[in-house]
Amino acid sequence: MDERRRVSLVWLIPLVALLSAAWLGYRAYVGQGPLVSITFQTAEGLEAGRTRVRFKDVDIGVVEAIELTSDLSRVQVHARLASHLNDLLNDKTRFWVVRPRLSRGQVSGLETLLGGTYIGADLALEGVPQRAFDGLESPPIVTATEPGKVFTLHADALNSLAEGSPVQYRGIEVGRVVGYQLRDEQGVEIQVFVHAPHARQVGANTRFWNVSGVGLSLDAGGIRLNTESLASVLLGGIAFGTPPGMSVGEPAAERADFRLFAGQQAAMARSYGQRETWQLMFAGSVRGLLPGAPVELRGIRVGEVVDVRLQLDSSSLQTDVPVTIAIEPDRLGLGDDAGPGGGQSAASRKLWDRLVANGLRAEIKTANLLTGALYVELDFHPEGAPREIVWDAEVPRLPTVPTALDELRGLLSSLARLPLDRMGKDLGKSLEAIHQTLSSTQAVLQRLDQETIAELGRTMAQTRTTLAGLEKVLEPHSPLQAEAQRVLKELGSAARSLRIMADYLERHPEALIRGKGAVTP
Amino acid sequence: MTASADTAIARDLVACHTCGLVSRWPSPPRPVRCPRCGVSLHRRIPRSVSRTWAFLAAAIMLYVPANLFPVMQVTSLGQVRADTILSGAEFLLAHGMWPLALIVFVASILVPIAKILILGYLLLSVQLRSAARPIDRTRLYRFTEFVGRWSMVDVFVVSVLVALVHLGQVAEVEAGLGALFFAAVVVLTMLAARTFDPRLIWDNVDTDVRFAAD
Repeated sequence: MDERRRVSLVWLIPLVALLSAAWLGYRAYVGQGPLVSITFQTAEGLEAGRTRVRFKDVDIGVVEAIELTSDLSRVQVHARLASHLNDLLNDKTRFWVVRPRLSRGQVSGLETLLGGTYIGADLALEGVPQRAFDGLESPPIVTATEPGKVFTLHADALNSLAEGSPVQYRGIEVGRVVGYQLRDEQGVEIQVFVHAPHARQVGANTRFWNVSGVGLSLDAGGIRLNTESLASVLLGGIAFGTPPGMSVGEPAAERADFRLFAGQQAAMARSYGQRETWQLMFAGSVRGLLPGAPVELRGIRVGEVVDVRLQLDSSSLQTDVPVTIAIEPDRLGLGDDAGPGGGQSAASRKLWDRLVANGLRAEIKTANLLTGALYVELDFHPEGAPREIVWDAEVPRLPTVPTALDELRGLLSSLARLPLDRMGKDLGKSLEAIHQTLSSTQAVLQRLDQETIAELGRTMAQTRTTLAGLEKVLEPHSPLQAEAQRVLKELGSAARSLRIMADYLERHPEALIRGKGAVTP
Repeated sequence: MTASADTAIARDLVACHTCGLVSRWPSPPRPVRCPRCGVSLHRRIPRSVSRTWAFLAAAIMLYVPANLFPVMQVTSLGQVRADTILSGAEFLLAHGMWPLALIVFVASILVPIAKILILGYLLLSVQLRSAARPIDRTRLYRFTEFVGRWSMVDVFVVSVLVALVHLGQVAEVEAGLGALFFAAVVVLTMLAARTFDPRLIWDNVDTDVRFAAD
């Protein structure tokens, strides 16, 4: 027999095979990542065993199974993610299906046309661990890892803003509207996200205003048309900035609150502290005077109209229109000595009294002929009867002068009194005289025309002949030229002879005495 | 050993498996070499049964990952498709390519399992000293040895595809772990078939001649 009685080495092979198979099996089992379940509205484009899960385009998992929830309302997708994500799944994680999509002015997800749909994920580092999620139906506007800040804006109404509307700073898009909620009595709360480097521009003094669509205003100031970028016209938009002359202030914290103004003007309006309320009584029509209309002094806005009402005196059947205005004394440069509760302090009263004594009156004037808007003008009318401020009324009353409409009526009546027919006759006579003057002037011109032109013609002909003569003289072969050339030649030879003589003299200076031709030995 | 049939063993002869020279077997037995070519002589493949069992066991153990891990990974236009042997056959069948599916199924599933089962049966029959159907068993063995190499078809397909398909984004093929294990399984079954000595079948049939198998 030729066999050796020991275990043959060949048994190493199955041993190795066993070990490697076992080790692979162990690794595959232990290395399995966490299983998450995500619910979606629909499983369109998703395939069990094939659809991948991606985060920032890195493959982090695969869909294992798809089934319906028990109430058949949603689809439950079970996905197995990579093992290193075990501790990273928390309540801030979001999942959505990436498909070709047109939304918010952007086309996204086109790569899935070739590569197949996949589930996008947004992971956040910290949060409460969680394994079951509700999938989003559309990609989130801002991912958790994007640097920047979210701010809360308060507005009365949403006014054509939407999720994804751009937020602009100096015309550059720096963020987006992320979401909004209705806050019953207080209006709407809007969350905006501003990207990191620009979030520094949002400070304590920053104002936000709505730039959606096209802003058209017809008011006392005239017609104004405002638009921002095309995106904000179509999608709505918000802009922010600091009122001129103010610094940005301390950078605002995350989720700081701001008010959303209706427009740039409203946002940038320097709001002054105190307001003094006055009342003005007008007798005529104030149609076109709206609350918010400006109160101006010498063309500078010092306040605004707060309220316009009608007061009917039942006994005398007389109607009065009390107009309540609010003046910001800071705008008048009157300093900060206002009394309690919008009233006037003693010193301020004295000042107002003196102003009125000097002729300060309130008047209603037309701001805009096109729209018929009116405004209140404070001006000095020293020629009028002396008036006084009525301090005892509910609201102190400033003296007024009649409105422009009344003045217009007066103007019309005075126009009626003008001697119009006499003026007309005079005008007719003057016109006739002008007519005569014109006709005589015309005759003069005609005469000038005939004679002068003939004279001119003659002059022209003569000039032409002179020029022709000159031409002949200046022709290249003209006698003048030939003559000139000859003279030049002669001059040239003369100069040459002189030179020769000079040379000779240099060599034979004695020739001056002895003369030429003397032969020196 | 009693000698009645005309066998080499009965005549104390041994044939060299390399050059074919028939030499006399020494008695008492001791390790000898062929006088012509110098290779060591054996009357039966040494430790045939145990070695064949070893290879067979290894092949069985590796056949599991060979089927579980993907054999080939095709990346086309961003989509990755990894296929095991079974899923590949399924895919071909589902796309109407049933002859290819049949080839894959036969070569990569039917043949290796058949070989393992046949060799296992042969080994058991030899170890249990069965005398049943020796001609059929020999035929089975010859079939096993012949058909073994055809299992490599799948491995060749994968390696040729990997080498040829480099179409960038349009198509790229990568060999998976399953291909490696499957190739190992085929090689091990081929080795197992080689180390099995079919003469052992006949040793138990001819009761007059008995050769102590190990």
